[in-house]
Amino acid sequence: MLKSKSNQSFTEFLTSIVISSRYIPVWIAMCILLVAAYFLAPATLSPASFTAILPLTAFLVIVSLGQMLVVMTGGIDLSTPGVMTLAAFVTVGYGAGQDANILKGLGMALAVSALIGLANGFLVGVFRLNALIVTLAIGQITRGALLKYATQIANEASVPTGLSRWAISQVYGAGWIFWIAVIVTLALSIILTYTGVGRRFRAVGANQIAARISGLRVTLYVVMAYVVAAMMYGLAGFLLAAFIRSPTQGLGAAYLLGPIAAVVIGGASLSGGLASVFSTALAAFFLTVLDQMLRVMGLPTSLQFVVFGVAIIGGMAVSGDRIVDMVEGLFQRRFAKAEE
Amino acid sequence: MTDKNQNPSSESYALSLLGVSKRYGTVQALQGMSLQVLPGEVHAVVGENGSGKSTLLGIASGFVEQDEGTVHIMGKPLTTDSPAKARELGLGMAYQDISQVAGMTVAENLYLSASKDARPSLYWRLKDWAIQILARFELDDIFAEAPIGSLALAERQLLEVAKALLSDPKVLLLDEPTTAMGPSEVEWLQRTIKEHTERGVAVVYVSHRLPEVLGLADRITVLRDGQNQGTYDADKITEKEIVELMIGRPLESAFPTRLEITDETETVLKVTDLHGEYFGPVSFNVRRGEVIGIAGVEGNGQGDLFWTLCGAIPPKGGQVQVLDKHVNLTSPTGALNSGIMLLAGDRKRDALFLVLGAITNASLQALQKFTRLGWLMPRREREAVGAMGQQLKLRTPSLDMPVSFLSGGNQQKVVMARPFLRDNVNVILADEPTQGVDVAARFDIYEALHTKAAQGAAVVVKSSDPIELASLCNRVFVISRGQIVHDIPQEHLSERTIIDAMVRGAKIGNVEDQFAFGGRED
Repeated sequence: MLKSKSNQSFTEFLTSIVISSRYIPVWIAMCILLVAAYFLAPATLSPASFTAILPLTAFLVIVSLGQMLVVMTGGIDLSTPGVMTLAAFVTVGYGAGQDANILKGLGMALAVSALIGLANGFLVGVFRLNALIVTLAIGQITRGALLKYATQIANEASVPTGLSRWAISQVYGAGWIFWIAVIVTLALSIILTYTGVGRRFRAVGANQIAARISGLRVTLYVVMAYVVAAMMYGLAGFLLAAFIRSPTQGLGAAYLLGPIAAVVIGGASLSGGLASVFSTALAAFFLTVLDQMLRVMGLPTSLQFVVFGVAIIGGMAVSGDRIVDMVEGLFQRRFAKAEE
Repeated sequence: MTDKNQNPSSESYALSLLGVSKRYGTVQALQGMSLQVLPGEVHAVVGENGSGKSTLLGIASGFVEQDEGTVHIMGKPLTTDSPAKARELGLGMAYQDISQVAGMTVAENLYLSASKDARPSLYWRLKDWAIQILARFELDDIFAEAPIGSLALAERQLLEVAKALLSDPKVLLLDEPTTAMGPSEVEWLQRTIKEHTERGVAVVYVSHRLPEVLGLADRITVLRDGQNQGTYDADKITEKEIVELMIGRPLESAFPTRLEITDETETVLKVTDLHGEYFGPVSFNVRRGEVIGIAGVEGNGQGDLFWTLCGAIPPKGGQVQVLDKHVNLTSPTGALNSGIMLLAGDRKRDALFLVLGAITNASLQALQKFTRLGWLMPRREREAVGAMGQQLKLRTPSLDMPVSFLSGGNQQKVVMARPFLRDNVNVILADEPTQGVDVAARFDIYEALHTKAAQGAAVVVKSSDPIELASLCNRVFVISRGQIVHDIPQEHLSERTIIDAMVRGAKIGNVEDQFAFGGRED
């Protein structure tokens, strides 16, 4: 048994290593990337470059955190691009170029997204359909709705000018969009760590059978994960529309792989239950900086894609479940001995 | 230790295991275990469930590969984990979880376990060959063409022993061979063993039926927590001494004293005509402080009864009341709100959140107590779980450690903390509460269940271990084919009465099958 004090603090230390091991690689990778950027493409780290990186990071962070909620239930959400694009168009449509309509546009964007999320959640949580295929199909339906909806909106239509001006205005050295992403990150982290709802949600993700037997309303939590995630995609779509003023139908395309990559590189367990808000947000930042660096280095687009893809695979290879298996293997003996 | 036959060379032993260790994950199943069996002796290995007996036999028979140590059969090393190689070296084994193919006949099963040259060359001679073999073992009562499924459990156990002897082994391993046997079958087994030991066959006899072991064995090796507690001459040790070696403490303090239950004691759980797809209708009452045992041969509906009582599988009919209030059994939430809590048997699947820490696992059903307006109060939670951990003697490097790193006993203690942390738990359904739990922790679990009973809860324990039920419960219900067929009160509780009731219970349903195969009125 653990009697001496130093032994006690040593096992506490080991415990924290075991718990955080899945999240460590992304922080190391971030450091390596910053060093690499400093030597290979110093312009990546210039203030001018960061004014571009920060809002892009913000979009990816918000969407990634939504995806993270779904992954925590052991699912995956591929309706992301569809939801984002539709939300962006709804913002334009209901905004109708009038500043007075901005909040109406935001409200409608979130409502439409929530509805799509509800459909996802219902099919996955209640009907127990495969999340991958269902969300892909719902994404396709959303795209169909978008095509129909886009015909009602003039080609050059853009968001109200008040909104686009707000989107690029600076507070405390960064744009509003960046600060909103910070607020979303902090709020989600607090909810997951310090509330009963967050605690139960983690439990549902970790073992749905045990959660059901423990009396938790598992289906409700799973459905809500998809709804909240879709609303976060919707929020990102709204902000993205505000940022680029006149959204195109291809706006969401870049957000299919990116968020999933951020979640996995951020160390989440694809079987559910475990994920860190901050590591996921950092992974989103990592991917954005990497993308920017490749641009600055002047790589041809084709090569950028390849490098980006390789980086994601490499990130997956060293993070999350795999590293935890390794650490478990290393420490299990040690802990078993400590118990004796 | 009275091992007089110290002999340094492993060649003089029929079976010799030296310094064998085996670890499964965090569980050290065997630790530096040595076992040396002389030709012509009956060597009993005793120990509780989970003490490592099965692992030991698995390693000796080549089914399980050891981490450390050596195995010699008839002086020759067993170098690979191959059951075929072990059989070649002269080892035969009768398995506890009977190794017969259920869909095939007796003759076909015998054929499968015979060595190549012992098998009949032509298929249509199979029946005659099997009849000869059955006659050789004096098992003429068993029909060669009867499907295995139609045999009573005891007959299947006889057949299992015969199968092991088919290859004329020099070493015979018997793993709990008599669990379902009646006196006449046991007598047959003893006779058969004697015949073979006289010819120099070494027999390793694993059982937890101590009187039987003492009557049969020449030497006894006691296992506890995967470690050898010594080898003793059978005529120089008493049953009580063996039990104390098995459980590692004086017998008197092993099980908590049961509370006295009278007719005046308040009824907490009232089950009336409850039935589901695989059980019922069953009716019974459980009073405050009472510990009820549920026994029965696996697969007789006990499992479903538990799932229904905890709300996981809705009942087909009937009523359940807790403290005279109707229980909504359509979901686990309903059962829990009425104060019924299940401690699931398959902990990893049904009870634990393996990747989460001990605190999260223990407090999940009591979060109301540790939240204010939805916000967690982590310090209060940590203190409460920490205090429970101390009471239950939970051993973990830290309360935040994912419970996948804990041993089976400590995992069960984390689960066991739940009914203590949550208020108003009136009924505890403990499904196999000590399965995969080491001996020391088992008694902590018993203590905890008893404490909960003393606090006024009704406790229902489902267990496949008759000793556990006999020593822990105020009453034991034996279930067969979904019905309570025996209700054994405390004054008649013993391992023997429970097993007898289980075996009789299983046979009642088999009457027709027996008549179909010629009857057995004699």
